[in-house]
Amino acid sequence: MRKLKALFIAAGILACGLVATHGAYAGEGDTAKLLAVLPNAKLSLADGIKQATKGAEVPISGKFELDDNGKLSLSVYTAEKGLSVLPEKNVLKELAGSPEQAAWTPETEVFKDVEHVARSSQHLVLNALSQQSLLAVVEDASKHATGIVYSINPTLHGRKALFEVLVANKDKVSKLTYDIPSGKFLGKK
Amino acid sequence: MKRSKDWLPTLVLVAMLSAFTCQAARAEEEEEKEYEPADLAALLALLPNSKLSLADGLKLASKGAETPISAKFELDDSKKLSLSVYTAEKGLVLEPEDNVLKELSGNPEQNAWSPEVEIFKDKRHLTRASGQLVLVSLSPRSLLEIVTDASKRQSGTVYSITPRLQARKPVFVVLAAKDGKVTSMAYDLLTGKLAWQNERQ
Repeated sequence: MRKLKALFIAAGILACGLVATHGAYAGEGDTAKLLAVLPNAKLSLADGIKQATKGAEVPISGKFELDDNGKLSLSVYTAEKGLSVLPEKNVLKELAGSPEQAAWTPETEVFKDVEHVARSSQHLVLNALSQQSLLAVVEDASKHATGIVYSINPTLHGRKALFEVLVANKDKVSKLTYDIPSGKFLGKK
Repeated sequence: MKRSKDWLPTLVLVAMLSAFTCQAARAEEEEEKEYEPADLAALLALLPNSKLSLADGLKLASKGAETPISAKFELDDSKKLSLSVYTAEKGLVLEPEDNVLKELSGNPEQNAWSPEVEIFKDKRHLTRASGQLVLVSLSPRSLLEIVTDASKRQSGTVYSITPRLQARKPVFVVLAAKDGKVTSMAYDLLTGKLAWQNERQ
């Protein structure tokens, strides 16, 4: 009986370890699928950010993700009137399309729903506080971590304004953080 | 050649003064957009009728996690005096998309303020409130602390506090009225310190 109990405990610890390792290295569900198809992209996140920058229009976040059909998509949120125009007077939108062809021809959605309007307003305000462009942060992140930079997201953590950058190296994911007001690299996990 | 270099400090001083003046002018432009001139004159005339201060409104709107993110006296659609406070129902730690952003507004001419509540779902108010929540969450000081500080520095009625980006700098803009004159003050949002103040008719 004691041996059986010990066996269950050992199996439990092993299972917890496997889950934790999987979470730390590959992420769950969609992330693992995303990482598997990421090498199919013919464009980098930096390419998408550059392409989404037209005239006053400025990218405010960008990421590779799986679309509703489970296919690889490159998505860039932009502020059409630039960073100096307040969210309520701006046009906040998403450019999203397959990055698996040489040319990226994204569809455009102007946000009107509560979730996306609130999120993109936050992205715009946080970008406006930054001394560095999204492109500069993505390029800097490429120097700090080996692999494919696949997401940059301005976020609030414990009332601190941060850029979170995700870099995939095979099945491992590194999260890099930058302090938005100062532009300083804070670290890698 | 030496003489021409003597002008350098003067030029630098003139440039700094110009920059300061431009900043103040830009702030005035934004205030004017917030209050139409005719509405502003009517508002200033009605302000003494209020039995509540802006600080009272901020205190009343703070319940549990719910936190004010901007506040002002304004004229309602019937041109009557109204006290309006925008709040983030779930506090400053939750991001806009996970929060509930709303306005409490009501007549401050009675002893008890019984505001109506509107949860924002329209783009105009949602973008504005989302931006305000982000900015307030980055500040070490609450709206109430800033309004209290402004009231000590400025005699008159503090009637508006708004977190804003001015030339991509985050500030709290505070407006105070006395004898028909408006004073605007800007506090650096990241430090909570007074950055500048400016009086106008």
